[in-house]
Amino acid sequence: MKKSNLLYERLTALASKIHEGEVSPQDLVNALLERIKETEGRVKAYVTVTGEEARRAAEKAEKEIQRGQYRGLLHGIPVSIKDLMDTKGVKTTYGSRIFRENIPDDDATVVKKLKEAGAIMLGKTNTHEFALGGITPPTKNPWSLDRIPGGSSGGSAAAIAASSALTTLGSDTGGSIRIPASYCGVVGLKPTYGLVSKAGVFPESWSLDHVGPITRYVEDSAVMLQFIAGYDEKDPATRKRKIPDYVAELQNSVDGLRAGVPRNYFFEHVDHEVLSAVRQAIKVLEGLGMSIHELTVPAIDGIMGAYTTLDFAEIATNHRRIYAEHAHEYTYESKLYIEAGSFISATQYIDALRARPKLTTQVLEAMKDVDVMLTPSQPIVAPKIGEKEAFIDGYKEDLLLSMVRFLAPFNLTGLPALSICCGFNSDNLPIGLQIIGKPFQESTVLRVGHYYEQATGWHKWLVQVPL
Amino acid sequence: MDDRVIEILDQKLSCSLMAFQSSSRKRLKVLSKNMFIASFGGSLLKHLSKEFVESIVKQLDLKVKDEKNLKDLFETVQANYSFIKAVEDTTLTPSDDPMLYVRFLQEARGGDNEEK
Repeated sequence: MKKSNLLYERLTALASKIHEGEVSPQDLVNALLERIKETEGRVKAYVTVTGEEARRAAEKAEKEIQRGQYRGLLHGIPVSIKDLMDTKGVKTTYGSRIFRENIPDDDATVVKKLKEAGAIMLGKTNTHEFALGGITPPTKNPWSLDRIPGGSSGGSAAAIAASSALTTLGSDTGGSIRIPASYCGVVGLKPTYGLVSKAGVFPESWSLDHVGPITRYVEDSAVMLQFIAGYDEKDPATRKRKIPDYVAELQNSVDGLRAGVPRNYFFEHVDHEVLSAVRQAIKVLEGLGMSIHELTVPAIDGIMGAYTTLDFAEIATNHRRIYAEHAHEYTYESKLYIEAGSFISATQYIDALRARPKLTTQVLEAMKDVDVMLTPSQPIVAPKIGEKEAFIDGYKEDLLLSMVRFLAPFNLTGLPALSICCGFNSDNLPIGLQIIGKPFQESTVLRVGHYYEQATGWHKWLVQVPL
Repeated sequence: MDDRVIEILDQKLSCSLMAFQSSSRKRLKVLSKNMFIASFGGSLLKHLSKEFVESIVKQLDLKVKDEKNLKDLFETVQANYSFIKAVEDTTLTPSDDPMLYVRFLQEARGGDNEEK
C-alpha cells in the first residue's frame, strides 16, 4: 500500500494493520510529516509540529507492540491536539501572543488519556486567540484557500480535511468543534457536558466548555470518545459512570429510531443550497428506517439569552487578571469580548444560571418522543476570508452570530451534538448536518451519523493534494 | 432616523443621564450606565461630553478608549443585551435555585450505571 493511502484509512483499520505488523507507527508518522510538508505552506493548520518526538514515540510504540504489549485501538496512532490544550514539555500558546513561550508542566487530562492509550502526539493545531472567535487566522480552508476554516478549532478541522492529521481533538463553547467541522466537511462531536474532562484546557466559559474529537469518519470519533470519556477528579463536572462501547454500538441498526425536525428557528435564514442538502439528508435517514417527526424547540430566545450571559460574563471573569496586565497583547476582537462581558451584572448572571435547568427541561420535553433531532450545522458554507457578515439569500447577519445560532443552544443545554458532511454546494464547498441527542446518548447520535455516512459516501470526497 | 425618533431618544437619554448624575451610590451609577449604554449602544457617544466619556472609561477601567473603539464596544454591549433581555422573559420564581442545574446533571446521568 502507498504510504499516502494510509492517511485516508479508518482508525480501526489502521489499528488492525498495526497490531498485525502490516503497518508500522513509524510509516504513519512519516507519511503524515510528508503530507504536512506538502500542505502546511498553504493551509497553516499547525502551530507546532513535534516531528522528532513523534518519530521517537512511534519507534517505542512499534517495539512495545512487537513485544506483545499492544494497548488497543489508539496504540501507535498519531493524534493532533488543539493548541488550547496543555501538552507537557511542548509549547502551548492558547492562540495568544501572551503565551507564545508557554511550556506546560503537565498534560491536559484528555491528552494524558490519549498517551496512556498509546497514541502519538504529532503536533498542536491552530486555534482562534483563546478560542474567542470562529475565524482561526491564519489557517485556510483546504477546500478553498480563500475561505476560513471556521473555529475556534479551525486548525484541527483543516488538518483533517487536508489529510495532514489522522485524528484530532477540539473544544466547543458555542460551536467551536461543529463550526469548522461543517465548513471543512469533516466530523465533529461535542459530547454531553461532563462526559469528557476539560481539565488542562484553557477555559473560555467553565459552564459551557466541552472537549471532543474532530475526525474524518464518524467511527473515528467513536474510537476517540472511547478513550477520552470518563471521570476526572480534576474536572468537577465529570462523574463516575460506565462508559459504553461506542464503536461496537455503531453496528446497532437505526431502523425504528425517531428523529425530530424543528419547525421553528433552525430552518430560518438558511442558504437555499444548505437547506436543500439538509432536507435531502433527512430523506436519506427516513429511507434507512427512521421516522421523522416535526417538533418545536421552545424558549429559543431565552436559551440564546442565557447562553450569551453566561459566556460573556465567564470570559470577562476568566480573563480579568491576565487582561489587566496584558491588554495590549490581545487582538481587538478579544478586547471587545472581554470588556463587553464586564457590563453583565451579577443579577443577570444568576438569572441565567436559574433559567438554565428550566430551559434544558423544556428542550428535553420537546424531544421526549424522539431519539435525536436534526438541524443544519451552519446556515451557510465557509465564508471568504475577511467577511464580517453572513449573506444568506438576501438576509444579512453578523458572521459570528450566524456561526453559533444553531449550535450554542446545545452548549447551554449540554446535549450531545454531532456535525457531519451532508453534501457540497455548487462551488464544491461542504455543508454540515447537525445530529443532537439526549444527555449521554452519544451512542445513538454516532450511530445515526455512521449509518448516514455509509449510505451517502460524502466522506469519500477528498481535498486534492497538492493544493 | 426621523426627527420623532431622535426626539424620543434625546428624552430617554436625558432621563438616564439625570438618573446617573443624580445618583450618589456607586452601584446605582454603574447600573444606570450599563443600562443606558445597553439601550443606546454606539449612538450614545455623540450625546456625551468628552469628560463624561472619560469618567465612564475610568470607572469601568476600560482598556478600549478612543471614540471608534468605544463605539464598537457599546454596540457589542447593546447586541448582548438584546439577547440577555430574553432571560427576563423566562418565568422564574423564588424556587428556581441556580444550583438546580447540578441536580439536573446528576439526574440526567442516572444513578444505576456508575463506573466500578
